[in-house]
Amino acid sequence: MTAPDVPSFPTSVLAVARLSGLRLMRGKKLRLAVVATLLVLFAVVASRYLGDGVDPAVATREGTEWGFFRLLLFLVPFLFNSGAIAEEVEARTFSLLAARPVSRPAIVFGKLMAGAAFSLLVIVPGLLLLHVACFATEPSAMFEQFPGTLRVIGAATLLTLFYSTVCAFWGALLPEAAGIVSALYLSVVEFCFAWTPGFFRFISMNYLAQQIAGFPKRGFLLDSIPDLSAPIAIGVLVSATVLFAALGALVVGLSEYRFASA
Amino acid sequence: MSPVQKPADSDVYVRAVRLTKWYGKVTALSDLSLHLEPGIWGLLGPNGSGKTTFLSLVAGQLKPSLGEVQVAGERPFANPNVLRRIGLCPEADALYDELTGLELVSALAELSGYPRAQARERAAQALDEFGLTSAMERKSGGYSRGMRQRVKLAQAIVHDPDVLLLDEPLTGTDPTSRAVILESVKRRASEGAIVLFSTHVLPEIEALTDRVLLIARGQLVAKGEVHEIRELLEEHPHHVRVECDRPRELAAALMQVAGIVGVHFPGDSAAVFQTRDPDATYAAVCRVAVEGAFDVHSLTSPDASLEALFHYLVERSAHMAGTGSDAAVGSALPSPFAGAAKTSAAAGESSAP
Repeated sequence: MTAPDVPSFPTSVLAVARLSGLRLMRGKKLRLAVVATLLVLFAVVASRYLGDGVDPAVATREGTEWGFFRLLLFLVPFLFNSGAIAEEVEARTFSLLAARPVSRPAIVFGKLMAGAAFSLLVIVPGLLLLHVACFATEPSAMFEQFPGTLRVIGAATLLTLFYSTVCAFWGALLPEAAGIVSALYLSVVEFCFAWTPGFFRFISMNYLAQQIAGFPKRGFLLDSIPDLSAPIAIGVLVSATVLFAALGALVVGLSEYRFASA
Repeated sequence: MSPVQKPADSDVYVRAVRLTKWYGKVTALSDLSLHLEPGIWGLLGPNGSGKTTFLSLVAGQLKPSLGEVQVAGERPFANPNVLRRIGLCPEADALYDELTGLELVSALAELSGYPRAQARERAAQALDEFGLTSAMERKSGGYSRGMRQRVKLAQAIVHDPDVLLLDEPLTGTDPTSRAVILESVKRRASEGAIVLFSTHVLPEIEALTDRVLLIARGQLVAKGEVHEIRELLEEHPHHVRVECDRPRELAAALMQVAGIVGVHFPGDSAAVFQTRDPDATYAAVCRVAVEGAFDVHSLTSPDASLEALFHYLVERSAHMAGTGSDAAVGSALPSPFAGAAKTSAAAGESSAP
């Protein structure tokens, strides 16, 4: 018997993350995400400098809210995570991983780690670039407004992690329909509910992240929407992320994924 | 790879007890019981017979619907303690095409518990063992089918498993690759590993081992030696179908040929002969057709493959079970396997459902 001992959980997670990261690096998704981010940046910067007397702080906030929180933060985690488990199952490469002495949760968390890291690798520099580009002509304001941008980056990071786990979860639960189910969840629960009145709006983590970022409320019947403090919003967002990650690990841990057919 | 010395009295074994697996209404594996000791075991069966399901159950990728499977005393499903001792070469032609062969096997070796540098070193050795040294830095998406097969084998052996599960490992390989693969498999078995080698081609098994498991329709219909299967093939009456203008006259002329044991006429223009000597029957048909000026349209043997033997064995075992003879004590095996059944029964397990 010369097979090595079972690797520890952190070692397994890191090994899976490294493998997944290498694959993401070589694939087309990274390029697609970078191109989408550059297009958003280009559009915001163009509106900032081509418009008449546009306030850089307003341009930054609007660009962040519409370009990132209502577009890229849906798209980028979806790109990197909806296929994290599903594509492996569909391509039947998951059996290569499942045959190794690593726990199924380690596979899930490793893939999540890689997908979330790549999402943040695109989103965070994108937000920083947007800030720098919008304030390029006003260096002092650039520094004054930087704490606000850091707050936005924090909210975006939390939301990115949440969307990564959501997409990975749906991909693990319904590998054959991962893309469509993840997209439906994000568009209906996350996007649409962010506009609803009253408590319904709290169903959308996107709305909570916007509150953490300090964006103004938008939509209908604004008076019906209770105020929510940032710490509570952070707590809810983190809890929801942990919940979906745990559910994803549970699903993968119990699934057979039809490795064989009759 | 560096030579692996496993103790002769290796504690590894594979045990299945009334193992059953179904997918919805489809029963893929039914009531299979066996006990496998180190060595090479050919897993023989037609497509769709349940071979891959059985291997997936042993590899811990599927959960039994009923019964249980154990590897070295533990259930394998999602069990890292067991999985570290198992190497799986899946049937599916599925690799990470964006990675090089070396990256892929290294990553999987890391997942088996090797530190990064050692994983890379072992991956290089494993790929070298299968003749992929010059191609290991190329992306696997550009590999030929045979090369992909060898990469799958390399990742299966990179961690020196005690149980090596090979699902149709020779698919798409050329003769040179086959020789390399078979040599590697033999060496691992000689070092004390259990090798389960699935195929539907009898000669592939014959080149490796004389111990086979025959699976058909999800049932273990036989467990024994290859020569016993050969004998069964000879014992099993073959069918030869002749389509011609006067089948009854042809049959009358051929009934004197040694080996022909029966004939029937599925239509006005065909005769199907049952024979124990197909070669002599083919020769006789040709000779009589020329002498009698028959207009022969076709001469076929619908059951010249192992498929027919599997069906024969399944039907025969079902018949024996119905008679209440040997089947009553759990040996519904055809006679050549009775000995194996007794041996297995003595070891405390049933060889056939």
